[in-house]
Amino acid sequence: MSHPAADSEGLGNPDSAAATDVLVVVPAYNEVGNVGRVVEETRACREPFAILVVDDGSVDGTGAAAVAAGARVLRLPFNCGIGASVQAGLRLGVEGGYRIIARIDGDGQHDPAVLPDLLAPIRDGRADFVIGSRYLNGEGFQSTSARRMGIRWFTTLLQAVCGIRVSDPTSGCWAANERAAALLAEEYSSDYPEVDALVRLARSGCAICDVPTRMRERPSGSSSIGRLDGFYYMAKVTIALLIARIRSTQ
Amino acid sequence: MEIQLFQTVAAFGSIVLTAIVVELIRRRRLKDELWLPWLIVAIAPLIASLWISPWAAVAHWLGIRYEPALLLGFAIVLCFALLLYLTVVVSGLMRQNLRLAQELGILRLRIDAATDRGGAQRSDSR
Repeated sequence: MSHPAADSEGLGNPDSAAATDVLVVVPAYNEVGNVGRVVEETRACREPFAILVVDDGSVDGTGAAAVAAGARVLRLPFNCGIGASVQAGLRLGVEGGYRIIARIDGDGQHDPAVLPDLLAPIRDGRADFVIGSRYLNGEGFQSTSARRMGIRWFTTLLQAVCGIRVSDPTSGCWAANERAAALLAEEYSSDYPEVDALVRLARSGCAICDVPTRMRERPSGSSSIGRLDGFYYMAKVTIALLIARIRSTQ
Repeated sequence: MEIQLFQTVAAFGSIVLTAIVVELIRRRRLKDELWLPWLIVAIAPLIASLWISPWAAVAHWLGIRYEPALLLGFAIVLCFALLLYLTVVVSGLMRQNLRLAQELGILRLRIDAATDRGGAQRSDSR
């Protein structure tokens, strides 16, 4: 089934005359050293994508760096958190009529070259939501052992509680079709979005799969998640996951 | 029936709190949706301290020997309920706040895009 290309928001790659139906959302908070490279690498992809950087109230010129690299920037008036940033991008994408909305992080850890692999299962009609997993092939940066243990815990819990089989449930590299994007645009957790989103999508009957991807070490800057935050995140997501199982999907 | 000191103190405290709440309502410092729970919390100790026989009966039934302890327990439950209610209200406000921030960002982006398009059209027409 063919669909007209969207890009009604005019966010398309300025180098290309072709309209696109894929919006790449790049949430970024104080990533002035990384976001420009992410935008340039995304623009260098063979397929022209609409790129939207969501500047989550940065104070270091992240928005200006993204504009200089050729992206449109949605500036939130203050720091709203990663969930609200992604949700803003999802809402703009859904309202703009994009058929697929993908997300890669503004810290440069995701290689935009994986985007075609991420989009393929959606275009083939095999999945509504596709996660880029760094653990399927075990290539590239695998994160610290503590984080890997935490991710393994969530993988086990998701499978046991919700029957979702994915190898990298906290990945910030994913793509959603119109249906999944609309669901997430409506409700997206502000604090622990990735795992919560998977539960919500699975409960709404969306097909979820993962494809291998390579993650890189952050080129510059440091993660906003500290060591103590990690334990807090683990406990909170575990409880949230169990609650999400019984929560209303409305 | 002899009125004990704790009843007088509880009633006095309740009257003062009620007066403060009523004054805040009168000055419109408390929003419509929020003044009723505060008024209930302020008046409840007054009623409970003056009309003590049902409380004493319930306290004896529960095996509480010191009846005012039940009044204290009731006050704690009321405070807990009020905090829970306020947390629900704050959660709603946080959600609305994020939504407004998102709307503002989206609208600003659309205005920028429209301004860019308008500028490009003007320079083309020249």
